[in-house]
Amino acid sequence: MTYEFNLYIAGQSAVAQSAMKNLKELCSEHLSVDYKITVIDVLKEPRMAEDDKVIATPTVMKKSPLPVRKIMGDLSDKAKAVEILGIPKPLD
Amino acid sequence: MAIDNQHNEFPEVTKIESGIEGFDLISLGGIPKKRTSLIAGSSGSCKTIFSIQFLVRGIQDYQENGVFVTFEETPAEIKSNVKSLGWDIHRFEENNQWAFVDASPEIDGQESSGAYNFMALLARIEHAVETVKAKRVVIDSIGALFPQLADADIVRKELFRIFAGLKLMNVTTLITAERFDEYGPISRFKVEEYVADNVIVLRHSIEEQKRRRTVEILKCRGSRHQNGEFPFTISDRGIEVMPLSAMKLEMVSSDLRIPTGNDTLDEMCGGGFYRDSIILVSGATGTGKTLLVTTFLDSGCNQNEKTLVFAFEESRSQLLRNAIGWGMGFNKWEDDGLLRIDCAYPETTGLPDHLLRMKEEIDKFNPSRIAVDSLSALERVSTGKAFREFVIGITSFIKEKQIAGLFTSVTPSLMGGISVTEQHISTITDSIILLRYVELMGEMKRGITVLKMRGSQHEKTIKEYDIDKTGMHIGNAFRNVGGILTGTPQQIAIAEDQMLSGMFEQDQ
Repeated sequence: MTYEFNLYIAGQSAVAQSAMKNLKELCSEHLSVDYKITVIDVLKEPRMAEDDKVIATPTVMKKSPLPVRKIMGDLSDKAKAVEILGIPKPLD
Repeated sequence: MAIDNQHNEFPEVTKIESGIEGFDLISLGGIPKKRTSLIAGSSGSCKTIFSIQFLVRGIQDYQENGVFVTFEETPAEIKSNVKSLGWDIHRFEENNQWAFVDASPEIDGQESSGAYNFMALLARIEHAVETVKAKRVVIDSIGALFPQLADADIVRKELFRIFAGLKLMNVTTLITAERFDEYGPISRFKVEEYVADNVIVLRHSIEEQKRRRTVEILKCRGSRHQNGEFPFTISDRGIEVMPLSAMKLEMVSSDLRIPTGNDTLDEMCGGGFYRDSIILVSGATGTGKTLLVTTFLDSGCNQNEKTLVFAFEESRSQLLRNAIGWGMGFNKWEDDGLLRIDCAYPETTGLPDHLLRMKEEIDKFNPSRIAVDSLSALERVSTGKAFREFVIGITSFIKEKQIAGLFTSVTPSLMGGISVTEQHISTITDSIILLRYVELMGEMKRGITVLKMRGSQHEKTIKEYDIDKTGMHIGNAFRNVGGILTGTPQQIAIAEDQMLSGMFEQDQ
């Protein structure tokens, strides 16, 4: 099983970078399986934002495994992000 | 570096046609071009219909494509909701004239962790505008965004970013927002602070158990508009505003006279009614108002003119029977397509809807004479304000079309007096004819007089008339009687020698 995420950003900004960093940290801390992050710049690919109904940047969307989950923000509140995205607690 | 000229100049506010019937008259031109206007209204006040019509008419009538950003209903819901109005949004989408930006709420809501902004939404709107080359954008409604998102301050700030972005896209934008009370703060979430340049308020209130919808332009910075609330109604063609006082006063006055159907009355009016005049016939029950209406219509048909009567008191069969009884071939006129009888109960619907229906009938049938029998019946079912608006609405409409209109009104008392109807509309009418009972020496007689005949000489006397089975016969003037119009006629005593000299003159 692989966790797949879309990270929607609007250009390379400080908040985009911190969202990327937080998402990576969160995955390595919580997931024992592979994960894949696709970065989508809404300024270059607005069509993707339309299809996925994204209104804010940054937004993280967990595409797989189902169900699809979405969260806005730079994920600085990691505990909340883990809960909303439905990522299991790490197996100690 | 090339600098956009527009940033250096301060152009005057220009407006684009809204596509909302009557709105451009009260706004003196429409919606401010390339600006953002706020449409505020309580729930059910037709904000969404108003904004959709702005886009639909833009596409249909002005070759301006549209983008609809929805925070509330899904595109599928919107499309099916307006199908009954004949608006096929799906077809516009296929023709690349309309694009949705779907920001309707999702089931699992919009949770957040840390800072974010609305750049994605702005990018989507920009993309949609470019895709269909839109000139008009609607955002419906921003109030729906607030309950979804926790931090209202961020939402406000981010909306401002969207509005600023829209300005750069050179589009004309309508934004809808909710409000709680009909006469309270402009909108619930104080967004008007950001889009305060142009504010339009839609209201719907209940007045004496009648629903009343109105639109008001609260402000329109840098440009003029009509003040106050204007009633509107929703028909199968969408929203129609009744501009009333803002009606164009460009109607041409006609010198052409048309016969009234009664030769003596023609003489009394100085040669008949004017072609494009509004005539009010006032009288108590049984004085022959409907008879005057009937002869007026019959005389039109006789000259091969189309005539239309709106009857609110008598049924079709009653009207036909009476007319035929007076020797007028109403059934033949109907068969020939010269006459149309439109009967309706005043109570069936509100006055704005009556007005709309009557306008449609007039447009469809295209008559040169119409009659309304009686206005008083309509007045019964409305409030004073709504009635006045109705009368102004119908009279200005038919004047514009150069139609002669005969209206009747019932006076409450048998003898003299005037009705409320007359108080409301006497200034609007061009001619007023009074039919009155006159009690003289123990006998009930009837008198007719032309009270007013705008732009013409007319007979000032009060003449006696009879009604028999061939119609109305106007005889001689009442002599030596005063106080007929006040309802207390009195024989005026005159000296015997004067009376005698009068007699001799008549004999000669």
